[in-house]
Amino acid sequence: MLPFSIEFIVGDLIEPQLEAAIHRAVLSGQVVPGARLPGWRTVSAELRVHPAAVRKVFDALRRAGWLTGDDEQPVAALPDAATAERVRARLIRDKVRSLRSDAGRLGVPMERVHEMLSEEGADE
Amino acid sequence: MSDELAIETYGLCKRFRRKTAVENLNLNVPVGSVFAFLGPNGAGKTTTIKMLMNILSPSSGEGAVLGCPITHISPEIMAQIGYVSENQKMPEWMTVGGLLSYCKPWYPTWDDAFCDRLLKQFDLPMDRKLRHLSRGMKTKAALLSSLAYRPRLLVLDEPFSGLDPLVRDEFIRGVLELTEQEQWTVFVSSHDIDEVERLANWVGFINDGALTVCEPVASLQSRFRKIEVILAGETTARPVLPADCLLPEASGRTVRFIDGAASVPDRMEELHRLFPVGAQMSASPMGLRDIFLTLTRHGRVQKERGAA
Repeated sequence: MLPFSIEFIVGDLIEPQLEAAIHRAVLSGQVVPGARLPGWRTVSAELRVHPAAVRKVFDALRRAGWLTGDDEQPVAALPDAATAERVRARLIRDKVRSLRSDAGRLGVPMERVHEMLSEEGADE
Repeated sequence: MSDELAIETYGLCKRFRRKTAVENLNLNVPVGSVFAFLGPNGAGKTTTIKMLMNILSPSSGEGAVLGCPITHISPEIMAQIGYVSENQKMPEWMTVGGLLSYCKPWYPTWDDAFCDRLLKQFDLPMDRKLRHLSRGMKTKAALLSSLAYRPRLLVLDEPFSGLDPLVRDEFIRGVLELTEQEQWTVFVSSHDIDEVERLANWVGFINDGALTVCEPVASLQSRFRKIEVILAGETTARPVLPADCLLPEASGRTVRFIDGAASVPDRMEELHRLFPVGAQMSASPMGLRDIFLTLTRHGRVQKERGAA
């Protein structure tokens, strides 16, 4: 079993989805920095993804500071604060974009969306 | 012939009397790729594979597998290729163990430890005769006998037909075991791509014997988008769409089509300008299955228009 969650969206490229899943896992605390992650073969077999795609993602994550160790025994890491903040914002921005698009289609003004967000916050 | 290509063909044709089964096929399968060879039933997939495996002779054209001309594949090259086909003829009187013992001497690279690991993984009974195995078990036995010598090229012809999801899953895991070695390539034909959608990184579409696509999956996926346009008001007027906008449909205020040139810069703006002011346009990515269906339907529409 993989220690992070991923639900692939059919049609979207594999690599950015896998990269975002690991970003999300580290930022949400699902994977603790310093924790060992499965090697490329296991990730490839578990997700039925081409191994080259996994290695490419590991490489990108390592360069950005999200992983240490090699492809056989990667270890999760937290990158510098600016990178983490940028990725955190990007993950949320994708959802905001989709929310804004849905609101526009359904004719809900953004002011009302803001109110709804505040109401949701008050409920918690 | 290139060292970078596990399979390459130039103008490969196969005719059976008046029927052309494969026409002018130019196929390039890079070493290290999982190449999904897709096409509807009767498109020419099996005929192509049989030519690649030197089971059928091409009517014209040429090709090479692991650098060796397909009409003269040497036993040394054959020993580096694993081939599993749908409805593969098996020596039914043999036990699983007997089949493996029979195959082993033919392959200098046979790996006993790997074979044992796969046997456990596939849960195959060594002492059971092949005729007493279920279809799924038989397919796993065929795959095992083709993986145990760690082939550099694995050719799978419709391997998932009729297999239950669990066996399909075990099958894919088995194929992935090959990735432990340096040089490996998988060429898998299918009319149903769901199972290898994420695994394949190259794709070829064949339709009516002709190859319509041969490129990396990422580049294909970036070219195709499902476009939906919601018009501001009722209108029966429809814009003339570019030729690479496929299968246009309209109902009420909604227009849908498949954009086959989505990777062109500023494409959305270009398409948006074709519709009246106020139209809302959205684009969604497409999986291989949808792209495959689109190309097949588009091919049929073109053929019908040509015939009319």
